[in-house]
Amino acid sequence: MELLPLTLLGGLLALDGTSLGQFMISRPLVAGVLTGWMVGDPVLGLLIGGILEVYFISIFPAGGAEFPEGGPPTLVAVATGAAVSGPAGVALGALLGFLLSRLSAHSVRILRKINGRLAPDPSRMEVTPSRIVWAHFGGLVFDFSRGCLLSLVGLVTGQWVASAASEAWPLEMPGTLALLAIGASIPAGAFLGSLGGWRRRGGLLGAGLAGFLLASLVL
Amino acid sequence: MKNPGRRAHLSTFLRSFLIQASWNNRTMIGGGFAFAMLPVLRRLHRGDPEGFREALQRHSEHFNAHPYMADLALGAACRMEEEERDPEEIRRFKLAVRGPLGSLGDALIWVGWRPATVLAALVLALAGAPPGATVFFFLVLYNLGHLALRAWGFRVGLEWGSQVGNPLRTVALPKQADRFAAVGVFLLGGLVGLALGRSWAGDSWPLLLLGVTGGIWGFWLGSLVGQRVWRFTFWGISGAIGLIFLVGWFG
Amino acid sequence: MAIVLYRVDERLIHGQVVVGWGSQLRPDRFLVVDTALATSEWEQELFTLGVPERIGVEFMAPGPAREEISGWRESELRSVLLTRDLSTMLELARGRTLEGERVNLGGLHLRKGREEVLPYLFLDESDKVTLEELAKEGVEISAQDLPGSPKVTLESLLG
Repeated sequence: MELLPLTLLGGLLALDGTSLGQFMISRPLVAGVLTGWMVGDPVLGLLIGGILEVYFISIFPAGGAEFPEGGPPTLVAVATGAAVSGPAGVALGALLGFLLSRLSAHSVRILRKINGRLAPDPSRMEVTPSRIVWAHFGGLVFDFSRGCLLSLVGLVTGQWVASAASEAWPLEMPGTLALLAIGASIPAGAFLGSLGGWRRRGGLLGAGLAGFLLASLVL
Repeated sequence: MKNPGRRAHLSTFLRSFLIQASWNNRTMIGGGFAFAMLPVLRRLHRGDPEGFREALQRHSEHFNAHPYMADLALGAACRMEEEERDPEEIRRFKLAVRGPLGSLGDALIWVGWRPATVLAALVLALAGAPPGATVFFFLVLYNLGHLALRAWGFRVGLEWGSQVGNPLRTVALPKQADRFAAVGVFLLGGLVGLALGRSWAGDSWPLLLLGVTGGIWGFWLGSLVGQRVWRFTFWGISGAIGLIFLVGWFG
Repeated sequence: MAIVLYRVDERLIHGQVVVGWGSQLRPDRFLVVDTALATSEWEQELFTLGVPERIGVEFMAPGPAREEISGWRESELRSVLLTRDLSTMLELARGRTLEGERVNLGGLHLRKGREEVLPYLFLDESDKVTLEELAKEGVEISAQDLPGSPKVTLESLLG
């Protein structure tokens, strides 16, 4: 596994999440496939990225509140999943991804504290252009390093427990996917809840379900 | 009215992509706002260091908005500075728009556009599209909307200044957000339908039954609790996977 | 009880209120109590831009608002009452009008003299005095930016 390029990609994914552009390459779906390409298994990247995407569907930083990040955790999940082949890899990858995501929320909090010290505070000091620019690029550097560090920690942990995990996982692939799908149904339901709930949107949901189910059976 | 020139405007627009780079709890994107305004403020206050200093001080105060919608505030603030409006008026304008631009953007992009486009891509993937095509489809579609919104916002901001509420009201963003949300829900249903249809073809009936039953309960639970369910879900699924690993290890 | 949320938030109607609390509490209207905004039409227009059509918005000065409170509480419409500073909320609560109600602190930001208490809450000494007076009027105070975030009690805020 190419540790260095993956770690750097993790830094970029972190940057895209908040600090730079927000073009959404940091979404689990995209991050998963990008990582998949780097480790030589884009289909696995799509599988894991696609499942994690559903977990993140209703999470967003409203008004700057704390949020778990999807990019670097997905990278770790896919890279670990590729290193440990089969259902054990998917399970271990997902587990690391979720834990790392919780950790990422804390790391964002720390980043914001650091930025708070760097950024000019007009109520206490004279703001100069160089101070603004330095704080800004400092923030980018710290965010990039945070993403790299987070990814590195996850990747190394994954490698460390890989062999033990591949022996321990008792489920086959369908069972593993079913477990993750059941978990994903909770945030999917929350998505419906925050979009107006059953009463306003239940019909649409049913229509989509029935339509696509029929189409997939007929075609 | 002073004119800082097209290049300064363009530079401010491009800098707006970095508006959240120094996100912090004290001023939120205040530093980013000042960072983006720098080229325009520099041109407007050429030979007036005192005025430049004051403007910079003002624009680095607390501000927040949805990052894409911030372009609208940036454009309007540039226009008001160019019109040499009373600094207190500019301040009050920014205080008044920071909330609305946040909630409009959250509803339009985070709750509407992003889930709808991402779900469209997931449906495509489940229907058999290869990884590259899926990601390409999502990134292009999503960012067409993203870039159009930013460019439109900056332009109307520059054009309308403090009156920017007028064009904003005409395009009725909450209504658009509602439409995207509807599309999102429909596609979510579609995703579930497609997943069911595909596992139908498999031969593991007990598993499918388990998945569907669990899925219905989970979905119902999630819809009751709402968005805040993510903390519980993340811990819950991690715990479940960890437990199965332990059982497998000792069993 | 038809006032489903009392909130002190400098940004008033923003993403956390409309999208965060809004999707949880499903309010029918926002009641914004603020002296300066009550008479400033252009600012009112800007503030209402982010509100979905099905939710109404009313702006009112604290004096008239005090008269309306009991009506709002008995009304069938679900309201979210917002002020952008603590003193306005205290003005509403004087004479124990809000006894037993819960007031939510959602966002007070950096200003000269204020110190960070929570990421979204900066307080100075006079803010703390106002909070204590508010508590004396029988109001239960806690800080919480979003429905899913941990709730922080007044004791740990001042302690």
